[in-house]
Amino acid sequence: MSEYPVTVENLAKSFYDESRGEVRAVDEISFECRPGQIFGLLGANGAGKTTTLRLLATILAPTGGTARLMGHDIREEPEEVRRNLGFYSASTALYPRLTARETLHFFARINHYPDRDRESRVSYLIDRFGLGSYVNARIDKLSSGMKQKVSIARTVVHDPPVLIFDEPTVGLDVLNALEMQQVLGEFRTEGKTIIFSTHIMSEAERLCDRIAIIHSGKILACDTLESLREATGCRYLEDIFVKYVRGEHVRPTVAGG
Amino acid sequence: MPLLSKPLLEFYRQELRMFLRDRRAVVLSIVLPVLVMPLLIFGSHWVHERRARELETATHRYVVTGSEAALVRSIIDGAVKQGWNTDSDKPDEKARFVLEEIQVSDPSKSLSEEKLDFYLEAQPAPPPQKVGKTSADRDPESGQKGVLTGRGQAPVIRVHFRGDRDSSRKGASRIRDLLLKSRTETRYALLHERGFAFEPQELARAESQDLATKDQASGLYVGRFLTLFLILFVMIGGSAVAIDSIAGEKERGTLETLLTTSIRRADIIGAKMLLVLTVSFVITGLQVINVLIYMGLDLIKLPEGMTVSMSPGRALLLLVLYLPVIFLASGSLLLISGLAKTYKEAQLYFTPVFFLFLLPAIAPLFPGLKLRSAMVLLPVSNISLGVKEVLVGRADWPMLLLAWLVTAAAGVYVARRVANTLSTEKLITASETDLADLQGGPALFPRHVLKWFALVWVIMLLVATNVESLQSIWSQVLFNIVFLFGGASFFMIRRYQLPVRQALALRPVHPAVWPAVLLGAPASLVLAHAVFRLANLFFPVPQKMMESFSQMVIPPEYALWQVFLLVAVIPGIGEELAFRGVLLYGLRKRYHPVVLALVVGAIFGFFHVALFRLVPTAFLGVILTAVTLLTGSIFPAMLWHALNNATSIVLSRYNASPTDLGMLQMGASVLLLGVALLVIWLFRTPYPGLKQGRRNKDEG
Repeated sequence: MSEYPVTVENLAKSFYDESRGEVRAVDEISFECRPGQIFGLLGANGAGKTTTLRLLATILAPTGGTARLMGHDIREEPEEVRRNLGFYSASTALYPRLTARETLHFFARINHYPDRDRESRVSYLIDRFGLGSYVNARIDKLSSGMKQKVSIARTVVHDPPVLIFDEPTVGLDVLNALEMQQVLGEFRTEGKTIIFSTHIMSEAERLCDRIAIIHSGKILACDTLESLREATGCRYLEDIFVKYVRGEHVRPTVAGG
Repeated sequence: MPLLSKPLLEFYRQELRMFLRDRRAVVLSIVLPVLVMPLLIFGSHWVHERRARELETATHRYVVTGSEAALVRSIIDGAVKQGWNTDSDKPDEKARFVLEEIQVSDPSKSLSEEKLDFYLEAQPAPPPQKVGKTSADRDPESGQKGVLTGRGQAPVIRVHFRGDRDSSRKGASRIRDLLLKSRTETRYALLHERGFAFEPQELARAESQDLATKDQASGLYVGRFLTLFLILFVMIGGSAVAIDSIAGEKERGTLETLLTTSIRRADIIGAKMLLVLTVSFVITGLQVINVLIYMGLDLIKLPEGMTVSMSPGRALLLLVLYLPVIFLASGSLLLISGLAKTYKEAQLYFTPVFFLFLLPAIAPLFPGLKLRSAMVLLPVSNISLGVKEVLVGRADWPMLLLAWLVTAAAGVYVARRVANTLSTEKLITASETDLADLQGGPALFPRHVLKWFALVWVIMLLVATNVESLQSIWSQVLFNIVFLFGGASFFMIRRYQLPVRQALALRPVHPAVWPAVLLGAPASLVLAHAVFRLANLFFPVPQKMMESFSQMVIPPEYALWQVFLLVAVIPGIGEELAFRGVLLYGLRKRYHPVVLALVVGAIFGFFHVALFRLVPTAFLGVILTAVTLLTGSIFPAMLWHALNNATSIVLSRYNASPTDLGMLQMGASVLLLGVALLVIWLFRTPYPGLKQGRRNKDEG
């Protein structure tokens, strides 16, 4: 299985909550992601999407199982894992007192991006995301749309093979959300392995090559949209999702395709 | 991995850049203190000068009342004619104060209305039988009663003044000095008339000579406050950047971004630590330069005879000594920042931590407190005392090294705690903990046991130093052993629902162990004294202290059975239940058995607070732990402990001390102890559930 850029095996994370007792936020899930594809984690709020992605990014430590990114174990080599990873979420903010250019250089450096290529990489990203006119302005002077672009550029500045986007469109207006989807599509074409979480069905439908439906920390189904339609007999992802969550699905799907 | 890796330096550079762009933080932490300090100095200097000038040149208005007023007037007139109206502490100065008598109807009222500084009330002498002693020398500042003379026919002159007014207090003190001087001179004149040949000041000459060099005297002065000021600068300066450093990043959400990059946690902490240190150093440096400039401009006057001379070697030594203090202080600031969820919460924690640091830094202000005492184990305090001793030229090198290591260890501990605040998941999700927390109870106990023992230690220390009634041996034993150790053990067993038999190691042993204990206990006592003598080479204990110590432990007025009960039986049972019972149980999975014996032994030693008892009791503690680990039972250790103490009682009753034994007896003791431990090892029934299975334990 280790030929895939991302393999997750029986990954689990339990918390202890004073009022609720043991909470299994992630309950022994397994999946894998392929290069040039967008893997969607689809689930309601509190289903375990963010916890799963944070486990992969080694911000949290698993209580069971493990995962490998580009052959590096998240328990054994967290720094190597993060070097091969770009992580974006609505809560990953930028340093307000740095300029856009400084931000990109800084994140390239601490992610060990080779020094000789750094300047050209930063220039390329400035062009690509149209940051040119405000590249020397401090982040706290930028509009939220501009900040989003800088943030995306920050995520990919060290050219990582694996990208994680944790509910990237939360809080964005329609145009910005569309732009985000477009950028994700571009990254896919470049051959990146993308893990993308959302609770918006249409987004998942449009973007994802494979979809995992996650509920109460468990993956209920993991397949292509076509296979999920076949298995449930439903046309729309929303119906498919509801069917799985309510435990009404027809036959089990096997991760494949 | 190099100590200062590339990402660390890169992150540090970035942090510094962002700090310098934060105008508010720069102003608050650097510019403001730099400006405020000279303003403070200048202000206080100006006020002081002005006040002194005003008081020195003042004219004192006064009133004389009473039936003997004429006498008083003549005394004052005579004194002023002689030119005695100068301040007695500056007799050389030309500045003379002026005394101006005025007339008022109600002197007391006028005094309250500030129309006069004092008034003198002169009355005829009281009947002689009523006057027991003269109170002429009473300090006029302590009240309104200043009585010049009280015996025989001389009148009484009372100085009325108001202590709440500078000019009144000063005037009263001056008139009192004037009257006293006048009295002395009159007395001398009378003596002279009757043929007494000496000058009065030659009657009994007393001179003093300070053998300390100017450097040493100045060193004492500077050494008392140096650490305090350093802490003040470092904490105040470092706080603005430290608090923002982690708590601010958390609040802004940049920390999560940072944590998803490939920079190591240790590098993040290292860079932040470096930033706090940089700012602290810059501020401290600026303040020092500030003070030097203002001393150069003569705005700050040094006390009389004070010299400021600092050889490069000494400056370097001070810097080295202060490094762990600054490290610890910066680390603690970062820890606050790391533990807090928001900037505001971190600010809330700052004040208590600030005082927590100032408190140990005032240790050099206490007279007689030396580094060579238990103080050496208290971080910050030990360095502050050490610095004072270095500055007066009495550096205690082994103790300085120990102090440095203790404070540095505290700094490293704090730094590691800071790193933990980053890797803990509390950052992002509030209620995460690991398996032990989940299971609670006995699983949690190993992680909490040391904290509870630290608490017991602190309580014991506080009570021992503050509660007078615990000086008697009965109350001491009852409180420490029965109440504290027994109570704490009971509490921990209840709280963590520990299985009693396992937690206290209540297990039977092979019968052969008992004779071995009888053999080994006296031998280990002798060896403990040998160890003590060895330790004494490094930490010499004054003979006086030893004597008072032996009296304290074994007071001669107690009957022998009482002493046995108090010093042998109760400690044998109580201390063992706490240390070889609960403590050992809590730590059993944490360390390899050899380390375990050393750790439990050392903790046991620390509970015998006096520094010189630490080494021999720790030695005994290690052996007792080893015996418990080998037999899996607490009972042999109890017997061993009781026997050890009982032997020492018997010896001291007959005025014999194992310290006097020669090499032959020492050799025999080593042999006996070896045999005893060998027997115990041969018939061992090891303590269950240790870290790496069962391992042979030797003499420890």
